[in-house]
Amino acid sequence: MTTQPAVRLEGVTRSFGDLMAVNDISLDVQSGEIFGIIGPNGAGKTTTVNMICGMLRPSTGTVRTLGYDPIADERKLRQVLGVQFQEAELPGAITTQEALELYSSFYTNPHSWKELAEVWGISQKLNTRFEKLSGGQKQRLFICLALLNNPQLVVLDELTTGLDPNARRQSWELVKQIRDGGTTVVLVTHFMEEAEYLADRIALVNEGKIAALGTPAELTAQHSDRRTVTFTAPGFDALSLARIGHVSVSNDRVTIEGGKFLMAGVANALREMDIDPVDLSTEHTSLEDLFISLTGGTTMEEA
Amino acid sequence: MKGFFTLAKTEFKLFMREPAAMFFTLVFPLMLLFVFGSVFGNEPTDWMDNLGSVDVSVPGYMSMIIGTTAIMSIPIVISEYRNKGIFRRLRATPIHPLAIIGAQALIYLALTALGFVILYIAGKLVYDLMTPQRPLMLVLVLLISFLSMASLGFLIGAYFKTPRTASVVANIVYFPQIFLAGAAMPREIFSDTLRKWTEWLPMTQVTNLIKAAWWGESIDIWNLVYLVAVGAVCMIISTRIFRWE
Repeated sequence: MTTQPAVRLEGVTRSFGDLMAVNDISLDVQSGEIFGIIGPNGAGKTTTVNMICGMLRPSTGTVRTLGYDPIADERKLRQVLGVQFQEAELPGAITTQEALELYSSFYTNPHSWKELAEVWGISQKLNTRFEKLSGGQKQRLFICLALLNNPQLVVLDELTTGLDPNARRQSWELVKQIRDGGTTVVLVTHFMEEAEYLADRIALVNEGKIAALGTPAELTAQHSDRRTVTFTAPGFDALSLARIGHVSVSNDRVTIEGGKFLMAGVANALREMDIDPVDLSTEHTSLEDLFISLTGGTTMEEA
Repeated sequence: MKGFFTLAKTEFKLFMREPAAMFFTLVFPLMLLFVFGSVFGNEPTDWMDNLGSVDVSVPGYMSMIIGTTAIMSIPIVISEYRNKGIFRRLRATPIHPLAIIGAQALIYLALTALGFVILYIAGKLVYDLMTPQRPLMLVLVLLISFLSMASLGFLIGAYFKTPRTASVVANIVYFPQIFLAGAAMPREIFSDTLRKWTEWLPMTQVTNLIKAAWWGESIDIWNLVYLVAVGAVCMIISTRIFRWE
């Protein structure tokens, strides 16, 4: 068995003028895994992907993709790499079938485009022009184009943006199938839920650096000492719980954030005060919380 | 190579789905031919060196076809393909970058040639258009003219950031030349001053060269040098400033 990683980044930086888009990133993507890259807009995700794909030369550091130098061995890499870009289009007047045939012609041994169109549910749209396809259909066409060469590695940048929740779920299952077929997947996303569900390992990128790296379980465990309890209690004195955790009250809704045994502390205090809220609940730590704490408070939606 | 030809074939089909571009390349020159042909006919006249009106006009229409494909269509395609990420997607495949640009150049050359052939056949059949006196020289001159003007068009597409600006600039470069460089109307009818001032337009060289080759006159080497120089300068600047995305 080969132990060569599908992607290896060693001390990679990339600057545009004064802007340090990627600042000293090192990581390995293991062969056969789904590797998620998440982070707010402008974090350096797409710049990183561009360097992995050989579309961009790193300022310093080494990039190896499927063992190739993506710049020097660009043509060889393109035969075995599949890419679905966030910002790419096809000419408006090209039909689905023409696009599939065109992109098939670029590869020495392409996969049957008919079969891919079938699997990804666009075989009814073969004679439809690109400009007439829905956002989801365009997206699925791009995924088919990325898979035409039976790639060893496929990079999916914002795979499900523009898809409705149903189509998104379907795409997730298909991405798992891609991985199960032996293809390594690098998945760039700003949907935390997507990364949590799909990725075997995740790199959380912020301001050009890796803020956290690990399996979804490892990442949430890192921050599992954070607890949040909420309940409704009209006229509640916020100061009475100040020794237990950080209390905030809005519209009779009390939120207490704290560390270990917060739940027990709150329950005891409420018992003593003879308050019995019916809606007391606790929130578990999610990747979203981790993300917010690591990126300094910007949520994905705001970013 | 297979990818290159499939790309060229696909791009050709896409062009044929653009009614406006197709009209101005293939149909509009024919309209000019028939409108002015029906008004003036093609009887040889003394004051035009025993050439007919159609004989004098058609070489200009040929240079107009070159202008349409090279200066009008190419900048728009280049800037649009860059801005929409169409080049970006193509570049992520094994096709060579030169083949991506080459396929565009090839189809616009083919369209230009198609425009010539349609115009020539119509002129010959309907007005007994004069047969080119130096056919090989004419082909060579047309080819050089196309490449040079295509470089100018490529430069416009590479330099201006949005398809909208590129298209406006293309219009500004194209339309005055159509009227002042002897394409839509012969410069022979201009006043001496106007003729002198329009001497330096790149497309004037194109028109002069086509006429000379067509009518069997000797080629003015300065026309050729000037035209090649314009093309070379545009090509050199383009290759330095062109970005795929």
